[in-house]
Amino acid sequence: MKGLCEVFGIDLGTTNSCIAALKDGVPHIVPVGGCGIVPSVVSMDGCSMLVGRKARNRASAFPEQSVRSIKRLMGSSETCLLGRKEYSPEDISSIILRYLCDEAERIEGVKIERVVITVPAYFNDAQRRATREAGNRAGLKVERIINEPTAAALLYDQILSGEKNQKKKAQERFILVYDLGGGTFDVTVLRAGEIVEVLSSTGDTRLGGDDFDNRIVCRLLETIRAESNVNLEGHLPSLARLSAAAETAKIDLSSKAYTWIRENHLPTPYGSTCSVEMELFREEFESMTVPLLKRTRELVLDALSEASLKPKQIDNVLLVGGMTRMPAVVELVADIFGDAPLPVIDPDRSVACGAAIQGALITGSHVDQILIDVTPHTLSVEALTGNNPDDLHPACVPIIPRNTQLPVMRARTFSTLQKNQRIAEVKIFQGESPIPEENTLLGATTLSLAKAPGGSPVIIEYAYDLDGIVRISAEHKGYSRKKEIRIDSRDPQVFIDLDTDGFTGEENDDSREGGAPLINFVTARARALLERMPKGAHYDELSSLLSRYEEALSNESEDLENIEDQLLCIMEKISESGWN
Amino acid sequence: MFESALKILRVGKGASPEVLREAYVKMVRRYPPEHFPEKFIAIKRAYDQLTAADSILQEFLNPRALEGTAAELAGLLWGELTEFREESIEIDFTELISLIDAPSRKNTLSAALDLAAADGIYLMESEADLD
Repeated sequence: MKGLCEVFGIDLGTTNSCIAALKDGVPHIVPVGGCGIVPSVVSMDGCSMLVGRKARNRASAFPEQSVRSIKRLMGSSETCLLGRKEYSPEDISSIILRYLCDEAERIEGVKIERVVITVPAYFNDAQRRATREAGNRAGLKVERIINEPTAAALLYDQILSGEKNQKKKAQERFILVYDLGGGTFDVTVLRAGEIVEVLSSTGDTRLGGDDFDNRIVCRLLETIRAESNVNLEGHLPSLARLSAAAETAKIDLSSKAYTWIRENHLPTPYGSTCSVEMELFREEFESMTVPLLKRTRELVLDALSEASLKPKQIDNVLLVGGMTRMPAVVELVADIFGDAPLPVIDPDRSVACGAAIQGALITGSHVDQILIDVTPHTLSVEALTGNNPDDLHPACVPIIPRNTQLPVMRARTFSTLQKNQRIAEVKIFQGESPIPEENTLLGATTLSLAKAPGGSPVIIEYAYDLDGIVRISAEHKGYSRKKEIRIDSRDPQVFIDLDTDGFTGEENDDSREGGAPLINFVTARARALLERMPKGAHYDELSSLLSRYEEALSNESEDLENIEDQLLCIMEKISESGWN
Repeated sequence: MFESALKILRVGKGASPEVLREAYVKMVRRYPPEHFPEKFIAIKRAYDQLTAADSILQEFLNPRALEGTAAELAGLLWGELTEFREESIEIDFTELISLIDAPSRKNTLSAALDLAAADGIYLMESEADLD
């Protein structure tokens, strides 16, 4: 299809999922199942697998044959039983992804091969890896895993720049994204102007709409115990129905002051049935969920302080995720930020749209926005530390602190412990704790060292890229040359030999990819113009300027500024005069 | 270091924060991280160096980085503070930083960082056999 960007954006949510694509530069939701919002539920009906709305409808009647909120298990080794087979969280997510893509392919009439999938900003490496793996199992090439609040902000920024006069310089503004979804909470602070920069990101991957539902379920269980003397705790068939009823009640309370919950013929573990009827006021529900909202408030304040900002400096607050429809959330935001405007963006669809924009940024078909995101967790390395060499203890030494913008490269000097130490272990962890065991191990490598006195310096350089891959290069100062290795948490232990001389094949071999086109907003715009315009004097001038500019870009010539100005100038002239 | 940072951002000595910001945004648009990761890293590093306070502050605000370096930092800053009561043990770094003279802030913080980095860190010896 013409104008369609080939990389699709997918919001793989706890409760609902969504797929979007960029069409002529504008993101749009593929209307899978009519409205484009697909419940993230999988249900086994005999030998056929149902996904989406049908699966959700079936789930409350057949909870043991259905899986919901699988996102909460991503990155863990837990499995779930569906029918007679064990499925990993990656398997279930891949089924949802495949369904989304199959349906979208049918609607759009294109084959979907490349996608960008969103994850909560606070997901750790294991959870991101599991998400990428789910995409691979669904037969998709996952171009990037991006953060949900960042995606929403990308969409908002695009809407803003659409409203702005293109020629007027964009005023920088601070935006806070409050993203309370079905299973996770994220808060991200950004600065958006000519470029979109994330300043800080934090969250809780175990706080979301499900927890709000559970508070109501607990109240229902208490009522049933008091009225019918039946304990339904842990009884899956009745809990599934109570959860569904709680969710409906919660949604009701966003627009009404009170609601009735009625469930008849609830199954019990004893073969009998029971029923429950309960009136729930919004105020009651709000007081039940105070601790949950309080936690989001703390995280909002954390994110602000990490960004070195005060609440009054925030220009806009974006509310993302279905849970932000709860009036108490809006009140909480107003309480912190006063009257900072809450621009209206679709809380359910904006993340997928933002992912589609990111897809186009990767292919270079969309270049008007530039995004800089951060790593939400600290990367550290295990080392023996202490003030006294006789009293050392292992601890995680931070190398790339959380909320560092990516990509990044940091170097750190370590000392060897002993004379002629031949081996040193480099273990990379993700997490905030100084205790290695409390963090996630990303990968490890062993340095083989040349003979040297104790306390000789080893410089280790860490590069962390947009795909979350860590590259390590190590140099034993005065004893070896610099060698590089790529640590991917999927790989087993790798080994760097600083002792033997000569190339090991792992060294700086991927520094330059020849032939790849240089893409920034100037080159992309010039190429697009060349494609559309007729051949003629202007065409030749533009194309020769473009090649001069590309050359200047790659070797950072002093003339770069000058050529860029000329190029922008001629492009303006061409588009103003028009050629048709 | 300082000279090369100025060159990367194409600004002169004594450029104001506004000029630095403008230069940084311009360079990032020219070399977006998506397609020019290495150049972006250099640009970002140059910008951070020239505007140091914020990024260094961030590292110090990280509670873990504070551990063990707080005393040194406080010691280092002592002479420059106009007002600092001795009985206050809890240090609010944002406050503290705001008390330091703006022109010397960068030097003070970089010196503190160097000091913190020099604090002994040793590589773990592998459990594997030594040959």
